Amino acid sequence: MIDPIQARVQAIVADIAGAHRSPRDAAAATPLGANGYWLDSIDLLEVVLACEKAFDVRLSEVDDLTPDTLASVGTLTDLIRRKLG
Amino acid sequence: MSYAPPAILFEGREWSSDELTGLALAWREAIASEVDRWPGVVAHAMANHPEAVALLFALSSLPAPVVLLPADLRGWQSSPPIPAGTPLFLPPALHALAVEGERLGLRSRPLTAPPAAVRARPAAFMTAPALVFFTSGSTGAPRPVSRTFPQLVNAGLAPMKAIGWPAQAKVIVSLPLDRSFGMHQGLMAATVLGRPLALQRRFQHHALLALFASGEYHYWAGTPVMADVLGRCQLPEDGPRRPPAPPFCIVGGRPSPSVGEAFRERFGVPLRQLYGTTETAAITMDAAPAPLVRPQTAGRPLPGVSVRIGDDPRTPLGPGTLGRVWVSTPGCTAGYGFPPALQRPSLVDGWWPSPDVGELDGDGILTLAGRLDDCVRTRAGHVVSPAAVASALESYPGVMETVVVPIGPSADPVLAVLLESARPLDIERVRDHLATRLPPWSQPPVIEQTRALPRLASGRADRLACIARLEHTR
Repeated sequence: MIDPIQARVQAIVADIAGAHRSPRDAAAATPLGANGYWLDSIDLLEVVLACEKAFDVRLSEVDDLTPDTLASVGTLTDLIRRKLG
Repeated sequence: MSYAPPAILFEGREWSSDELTGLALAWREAIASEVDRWPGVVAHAMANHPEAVALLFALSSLPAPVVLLPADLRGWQSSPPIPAGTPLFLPPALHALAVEGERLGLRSRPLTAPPAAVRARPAAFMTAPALVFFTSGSTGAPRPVSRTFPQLVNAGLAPMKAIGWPAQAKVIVSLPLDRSFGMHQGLMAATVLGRPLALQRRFQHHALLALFASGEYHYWAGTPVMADVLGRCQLPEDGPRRPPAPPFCIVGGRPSPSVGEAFRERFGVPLRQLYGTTETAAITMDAAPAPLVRPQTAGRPLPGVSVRIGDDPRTPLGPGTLGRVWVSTPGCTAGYGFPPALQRPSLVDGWWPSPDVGELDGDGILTLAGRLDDCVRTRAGHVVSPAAVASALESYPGVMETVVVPIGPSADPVLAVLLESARPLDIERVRDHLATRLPPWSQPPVIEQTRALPRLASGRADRLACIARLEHTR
């Protein structure tokens, strides 16, 4: 069963990527950028804003939002989970 | 007039002007003999970091032209390439760029921090013969554009003159300093004002909101996308419903009406467009009193700058007619390439042909309508901006996205539209909608709708597939 936080993150990402960019077999390991959802830097900013609103968390640009945490649905989910405590 | 590095607030630490001047002097001494002997340009990775600012001032006092590279050199390449063997000076914060510098054929020269603080003293900064920026690369590999330091100073001064020399102004910049817009509207604005600069390593909306909330800043330069994020991001729970913002918020580009409205609604100040190019620096700016600012227009020419519209600047078009934007400015580049081997820009009677189209109104206010490359010229000679047509179409309820392209023979093109809509639309009503928003020659003869535009793997609309479909329909 898919983790509820991951499901919500994945829904946010898919919404911003749109149906045409969302891989049919998307999973935790699906990259947010190339060879995955093909999100560019502006799309990623949209994902960050949407996650902050959906989970009521604040993601620090310096400490939280790194290439590693923005690598895939799974790494972003892990970041949100940590922020939720 | 001599200038010194401004004090910089960077990621919570204040770097004083004296500290940065001391660093610049120490690095100047460390590299002066090497630069004096070097016959060509020198390179500098202009990251948004105080050490990079200090090094720029050091290099600016030496006799070699300075080439400003981006801080992210991965995969970066210019046309023409930077001459092989060019020294790339790297302050401690940027030592990691040495490998990418070598990939570009540059000779990486890491600098160390001075062992002790160097006492600041007046120095002849900004006397180097040229500073080389690069074009954005949106239409090919980035192209080097040479500018002089007096031009740089004037480009920093002009917007300040237009807004009336704010005495206590502090400046915030979220833009990359290696680009002309960030350098002029950030570092140069603070330098010529002699006021502190809050420098962001990159756009960071929470940190920026905190700077806004301090109430200490007078001038922020960003992009429409940044303004969009600021206008709708989560605000701190314990903060005011209408947070403060600098009275002069400048964006280099045209924000959508909804972005302009959301920003004004949230912060109580308008977004002001500043129009400029790498070749000319700032051209126009909306410096009107706040209630009169119109974010959809690019304002009036800055002091010393003139704008004309048309095919030929010697016979300019009148108000309200779309055409190429021509610019006359003392800030125009000396040429493309690496000094001293420059390819002069093609001027007509001193007027520089910008790549943009726009129109002036009766009050001399410029409204931009996209790039000339993207425009279509009708058989009658009218210039039609597909971006303006798309903008008008996308304000029609139900239209999700449009592709506006010329079809048919290039000598007699026809403007055609493929619009994406989840539900069927009455095309005659769409035409009525356009008739109230566009001049007759901009009305597209061919409009077709689809539930899903043909798209590339990246998700962007596939223009060639759209053209094929529209040609077939026609």
